[in-house]
Amino acid sequence: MEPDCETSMLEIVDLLHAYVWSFDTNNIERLKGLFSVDAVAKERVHDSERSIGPWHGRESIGDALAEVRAANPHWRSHQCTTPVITTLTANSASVKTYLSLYSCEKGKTPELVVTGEYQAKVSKLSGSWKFDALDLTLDSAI
Amino acid sequence: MTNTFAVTGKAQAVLNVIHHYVWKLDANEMDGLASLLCEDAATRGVSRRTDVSWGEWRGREEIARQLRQIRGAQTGRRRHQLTTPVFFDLSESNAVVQVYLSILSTLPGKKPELVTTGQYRFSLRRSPEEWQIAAIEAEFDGKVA
Repeated sequence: MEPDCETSMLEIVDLLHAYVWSFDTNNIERLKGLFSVDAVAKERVHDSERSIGPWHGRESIGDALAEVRAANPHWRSHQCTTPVITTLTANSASVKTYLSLYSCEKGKTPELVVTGEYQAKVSKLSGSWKFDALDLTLDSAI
Repeated sequence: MTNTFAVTGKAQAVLNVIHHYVWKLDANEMDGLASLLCEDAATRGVSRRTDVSWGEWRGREEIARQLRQIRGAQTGRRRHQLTTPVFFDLSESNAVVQVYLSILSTLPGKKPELVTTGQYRFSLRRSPEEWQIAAIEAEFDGKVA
């Protein structure tokens, strides 16, 4: 991989991190801005037919995720680790990352809610990377 | 220790390879895992404060064979999550990086469980085309079932 591509790798990982931070802090406007206008997002559970979405378009994605956030006030952090960029060109990439979702009720010890993985297709538009597709697969139902 | 802030871009490429390695391990895709190793790669490991150890296994085919056998005997969806990398060497042709490890496992219908924590120390060499893993030293904090 050429050095100029490596800067892109950092930017793409930063996009993933910005997404989960935006969700966890309920900054939905910031979250919407991380998606391309026609992006698609969905969630499913491994070895199960349970799924939500797909949501089409950044506005629908943001509105749907705002509802998910509001319904789960004890969720504290979507911690992303171990990112792998599987394809990379100057203006497009595929990336995946592991997820550990933690929750914490007031006065309680934090709990690991679920693990899973994000798979994303991203592209560079007007100098910044955006999600074109974002799929979350959970290892168990929540 | 190398100043990682000055060489961050190269560091990211190295991390991409070691992250790819654990994804292949979790998915039991050992042919893909082997392709990330140098032909003469070596690995060994130990569980701290126990008499459990493994290796040293030498050669990419032998490493893949041993890991296939281990992974095939395990149940649950495994996630080797790597965090907190520190580089001890990072040049045009060599890299040494140490990371923390959390192995999480989810059985069907169950909540995820922490199997163990630990650390890996990876040594990599860069061929003209790509970074490959030359050595892996694993140290787990507990026994791994």
